[in-house]
Amino acid sequence: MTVTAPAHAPAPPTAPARRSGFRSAAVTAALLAPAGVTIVALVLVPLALVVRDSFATADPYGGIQGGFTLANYQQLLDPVYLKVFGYSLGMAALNTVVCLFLGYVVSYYLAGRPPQRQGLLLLLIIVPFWTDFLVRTFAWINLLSPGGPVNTLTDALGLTDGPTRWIPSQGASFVGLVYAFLPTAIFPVYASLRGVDPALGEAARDLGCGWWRVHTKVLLPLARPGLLAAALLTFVPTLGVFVIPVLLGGGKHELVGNLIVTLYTEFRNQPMGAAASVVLLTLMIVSLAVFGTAAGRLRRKAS
Amino acid sequence: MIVHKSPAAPAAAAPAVKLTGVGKAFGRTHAVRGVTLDIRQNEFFSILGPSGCGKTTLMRMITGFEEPTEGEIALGGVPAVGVPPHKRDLNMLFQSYALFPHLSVHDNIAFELKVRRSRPKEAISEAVREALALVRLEGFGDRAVSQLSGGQRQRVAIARALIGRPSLLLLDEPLGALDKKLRAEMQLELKKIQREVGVTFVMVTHDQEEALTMSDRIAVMHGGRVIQVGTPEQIYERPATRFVAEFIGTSNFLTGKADGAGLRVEGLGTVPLPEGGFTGAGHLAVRPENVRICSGESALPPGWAALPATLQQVVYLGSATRYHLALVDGGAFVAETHGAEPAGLLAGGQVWAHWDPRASRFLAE
Ligand SMILES: Nc1ncnc2c1ncn2[C@@H]1O[C@H](COP(=O)(O)OP(=O)(O)OP(=O)(O)O)[C@@H](O)[C@H]1O
Ligand SMILES: [Mg+2]
Repeated sequence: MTVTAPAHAPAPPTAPARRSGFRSAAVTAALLAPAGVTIVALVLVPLALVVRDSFATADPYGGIQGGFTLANYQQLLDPVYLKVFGYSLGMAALNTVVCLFLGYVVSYYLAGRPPQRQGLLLLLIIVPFWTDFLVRTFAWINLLSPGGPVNTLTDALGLTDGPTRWIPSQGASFVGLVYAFLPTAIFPVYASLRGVDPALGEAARDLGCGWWRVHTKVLLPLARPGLLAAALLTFVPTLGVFVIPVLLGGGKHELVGNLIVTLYTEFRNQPMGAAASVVLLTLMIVSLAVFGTAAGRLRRKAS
Repeated sequence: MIVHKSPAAPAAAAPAVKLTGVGKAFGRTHAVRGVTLDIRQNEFFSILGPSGCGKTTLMRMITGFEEPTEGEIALGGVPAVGVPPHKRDLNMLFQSYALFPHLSVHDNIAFELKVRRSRPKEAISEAVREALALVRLEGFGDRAVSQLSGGQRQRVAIARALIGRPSLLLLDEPLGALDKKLRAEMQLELKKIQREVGVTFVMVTHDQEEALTMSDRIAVMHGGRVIQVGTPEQIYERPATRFVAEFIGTSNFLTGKADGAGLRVEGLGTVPLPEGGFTGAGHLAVRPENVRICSGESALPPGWAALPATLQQVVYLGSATRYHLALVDGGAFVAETHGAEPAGLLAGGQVWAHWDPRASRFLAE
């Protein structure tokens, strides 16, 4: 079509934009400035301070003395701290796996409902998500308290006998983690499953797939971009959680987030707290890179 | 329901599909009711009917995606009710093609063989090559589905559905998404493929022309019921009801009371019937191409039915000319002639519409 365009065809639409290129660049810069300043002032500067602190020596009262040392990082290699990092990574991985599984199951169910029903069900998932993290965690304290609703239910089912103490425990802490991140996992998976033509599942059945293989051969591969996004949104933030292990886990099994708080407050060792923060940040960036590469490979394969 | 015997009935043992009193209700909507039907082996069978008459529902019951709420279904003589879709020896060609976007053309076509593990791995590539050749898409195996045109996607879908050589292929409006030219091409091609692979084809369509040109036999559906089953010629020439006559092609209708001698139509007098013996209320259907017109009563052939009319409009169609007439009772009547236009006919003039009674058909009410 463009080949046969007559000579008097209007100039391509990019031409005027190019002419006022300088002005539009200035406008763009002006519009970006508030966001830019905010990010620099509230993210980059504090981050730089933390990185600097992590290499500083501590004064006897835990303040920053300045200087340059790797001692803070060396101290973090102590098995006590390594265990916390290992435990955090393990919890984050476990939480991701459970959230992805439940997220997929829920999304599959949602995507199969009539369209009007889907909106309502989605709303039911979003409402708790809008509620404050802390409030939701406190809700679990009530739910899991001895003689509370869950306890009453397990009593009725004969699983427990009388008031049972679940909090604090690792299990309660894990339930809290899963609950906190489940909506985050559902949304991306649901978004990718909703876009799948229902005829694809039927075609798979038609071509010989039983229930299980409809999922493994067709639906799961098609949901992969959503699953990847969900994994990213679950794994990375779980590393930094600190409210849940304190309230539901009793602070006995700490995540990195708790370690940082402890180092800063109880131990009054700011440089070590900073070092732990930098390690956590590095872990997050590495996982982002890993997930990003995987997503890129997926996209390239799809096109 | 009227079931005509096809002259070329194959002597196959069990019918490919046998439906006995099949019905399906969704809550209070009866999508399909009391369908009894035999589809023979290696036949190109069409299910034809207007939108919402239950064609897709009927087809989905054959595939197993829906279970009938009443009646029996047998596939190749084996009862099929309760058998899940993946255990039925049939495949479906989806209207949206339903190609797997995460798989290449090759992997889409190989899908069934891989899933069913019915063939050694080495044989799969060879089978895919053959399937691609069948639909004339040699060399497209490595393409992504997104890189194909609509027509090519459909060919891939056909190759994928036929690679395992099912006994039965169900096609739901297979040509609905294609443009007119491609449609005509694919009609011939589908027919050719069907002959090549010798698989029973059951096609759902609401396009009567498509059904007439492609099918060995047609079932006409209306309101969830099968109204008539027959060859295209039987359906066209001898429609069983006024609905069929109206739906397949166009017809003029005269409504009145038959009394042995003819059909008494109020305001028009008595019109001769194709044969004697009819009594009671009914319609006389006359195809426009069977109606002649002339200006003088003297030119009427003896024994033909004739009605005076006013010529209202002459429409030149290229290969034919269509005359829109108004009968004396005000009713509309259409005649269509191929070849030379009768001379001296002007819009507004008085003419005689006439036809051989044997070319008309009486449909009891
Ligand atoms: N899952 C369902 N739930 C409720 N009603 C349904 C369902 N599927 C079909 N129907 C109803 O059954 C009737 C027949 O539908 P069907 O899809 O079989 O028609 P069709 O002949 O294929 O029409 P079209 O030519 O428009 O595709 C319609 O009235 C439809 O609304
Ligand atoms: Mg349909």
